[in-house]
Amino acid sequence: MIRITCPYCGPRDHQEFAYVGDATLTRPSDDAGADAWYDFVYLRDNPRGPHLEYWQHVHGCRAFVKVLRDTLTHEVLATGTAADDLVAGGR
Amino acid sequence: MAELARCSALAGVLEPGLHGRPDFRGPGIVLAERHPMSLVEIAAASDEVSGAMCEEVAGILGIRPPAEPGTATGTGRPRILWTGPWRWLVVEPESRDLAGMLEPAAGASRDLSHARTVLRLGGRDVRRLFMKGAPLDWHPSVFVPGCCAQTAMFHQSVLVDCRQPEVFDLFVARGYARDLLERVIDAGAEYGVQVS
Ligand SMILES: [Zn+2]
Repeated sequence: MIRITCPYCGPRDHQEFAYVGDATLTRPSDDAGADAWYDFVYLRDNPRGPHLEYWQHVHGCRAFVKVLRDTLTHEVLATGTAADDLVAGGR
Repeated sequence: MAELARCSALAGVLEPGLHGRPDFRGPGIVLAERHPMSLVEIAAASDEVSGAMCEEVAGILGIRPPAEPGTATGTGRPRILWTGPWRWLVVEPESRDLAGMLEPAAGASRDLSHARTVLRLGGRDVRRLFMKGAPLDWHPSVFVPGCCAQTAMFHQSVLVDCRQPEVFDLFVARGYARDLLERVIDAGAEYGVQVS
């Protein structure tokens, strides 16, 4: 069981959340071309260790939450709102 | 236009009676539907609009939406529950045009009276029942009157409002009301559930 601290609701079980995806990606410009869009839509790294990702507190306040999670240990290293910059060991 | 009556999703389903096997103390859980209710969701999309909306809602209803996440204000006519950033649910037993009253306020409002079923659960074993159904801290020193929380209870999205130490209102989407009712009665069988 992973416990994720929602910036609004506090610590909640991950079953209240839906996984959204990689939070490190930047949306290309509309005219960036097919290759850039292919990368953005389909290609993902599969890191072992800390990974920045979006979750949605879908059964709770419905906010998007940014989560820094270790993909090896499932330890949640930091969480924040979607706009926050996260640093390991922070909130 | 034809006159439309507010019809409970549990009409013909929620029958008074005792379910399960209470011990010598009697049923540990009492359950009733609160119906008909007025429910209006109010929402904004910025701090600025949210601030103006709360100000105007306080002027209209005499009760200010709570600033603190996971809390509720008002004693019931109405009660205002925090449901998300810049979003609240205004709730009261149906007696006036609540949606119409809130319409002029800043932000957005939406009448959800038809869209939710409200169950009131009480009794000495309600918190034990919640512990079986949802992964929150239900201890009476933590989830106190004035707290509300949205969670996944028995696998469904439910908004729980603590009204008194042993009295709670559960808000569930109308289409799931019957399923939640059955799960609550099943899970509460060991305590005895008195439906009224
Ligand atoms: Zn939340």
